[in-house]
Amino acid sequence: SVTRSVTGPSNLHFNLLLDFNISTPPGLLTPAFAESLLVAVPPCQFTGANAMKGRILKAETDIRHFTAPPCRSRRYVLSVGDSNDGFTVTRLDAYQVTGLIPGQTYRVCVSGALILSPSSSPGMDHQSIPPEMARSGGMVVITVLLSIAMFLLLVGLIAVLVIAGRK
Amino acid sequence: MEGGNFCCTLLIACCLSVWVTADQYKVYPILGVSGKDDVYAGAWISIFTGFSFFCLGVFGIIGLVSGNRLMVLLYLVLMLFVYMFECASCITSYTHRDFVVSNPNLVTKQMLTFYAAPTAQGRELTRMWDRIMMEQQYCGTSGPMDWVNYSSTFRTFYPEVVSPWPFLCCKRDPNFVILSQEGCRIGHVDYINNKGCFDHIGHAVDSYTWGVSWFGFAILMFTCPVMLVAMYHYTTL
Repeated sequence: SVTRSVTGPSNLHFNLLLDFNISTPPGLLTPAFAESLLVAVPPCQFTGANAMKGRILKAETDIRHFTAPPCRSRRYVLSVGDSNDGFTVTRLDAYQVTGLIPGQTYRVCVSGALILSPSSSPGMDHQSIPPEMARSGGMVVITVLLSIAMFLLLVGLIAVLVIAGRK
Repeated sequence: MEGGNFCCTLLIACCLSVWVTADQYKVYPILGVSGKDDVYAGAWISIFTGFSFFCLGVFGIIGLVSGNRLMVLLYLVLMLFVYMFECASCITSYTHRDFVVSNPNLVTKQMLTFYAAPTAQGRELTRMWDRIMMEQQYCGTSGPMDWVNYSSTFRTFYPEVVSPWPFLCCKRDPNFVILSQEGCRIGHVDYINNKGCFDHIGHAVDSYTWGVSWFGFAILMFTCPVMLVAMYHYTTL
């Protein structure tokens, strides 16, 4: 959580404890791609004079800025077709940072406080995937038993030819 | 009676091998491109050996009934010859199955190398993967993350921002329209198929291998005492 100092009526100072989580956006497979990152933006009530601004940095260099999106007006557009009618509306507020380098660590700061240190996926070379093969027991069983059977038949045939030749 | 049972079993083996070569799961391109296609070669050999065993079984019955020593000797030698072919088919079929589906690595590497490649092999594999991903509603080998965790030929044509994975991975409605292209692009679980195709491909190849390899093995284990008994009969003629 982040604290923020605001000036209210009668010039009283308040320290607001802003309890929100700007970690990974919910419901995603992964927030970290090889060349982009997905960062959840602060909830929409932090707008206007209290707008939450964030920065994404690599080392000490700013890469991107983002601001909390404004709330929609009180039209409850997202309540249209809610689960009463049998289908769900999914809403996701996230900021996608693109043009990144694979395998690097970045920092996400909101109002000067470090919130998150995501790393972009390293994006390994597919030619380097090792071809592993597991030898299963079935292969050994089949080979051993068939070899024994083959041996028995050959021995049997030779024996039969010898016996029949002597008769 | 023994001969009758023998002939029926071998005809069943022949039919099973025909089922394998027909490839209803249509996964042959994976095996063909990797060069490890002895699951199918084994099936073709089984068709030959199954039918040969059947013909030789009839020949052997006639030889034993008529008491002709030369016929029985010829029967034994030819049976041994076909027996060797069937052994080879069982062993290589199982070995190549182990190469391809004991571990997802080979299938993953092949998918990343050949999917969207403009070569003939690439086109064939792309068609196969597209069909499996569409029909079974899966994505990639272990999941959509295969496309993110590794480089690929697909990535050289489509930048990650535009399309981190093929859009056939997206969840679609019954009219085959993508539910949300943006949701699919960023990987939201409601809009993308999360499961990989490897289980399906593994199941298909395993089914073929059990039919060719284990059933062939069972037939050979049954044939061995039958031939030993025939050898004994030969010595009494």
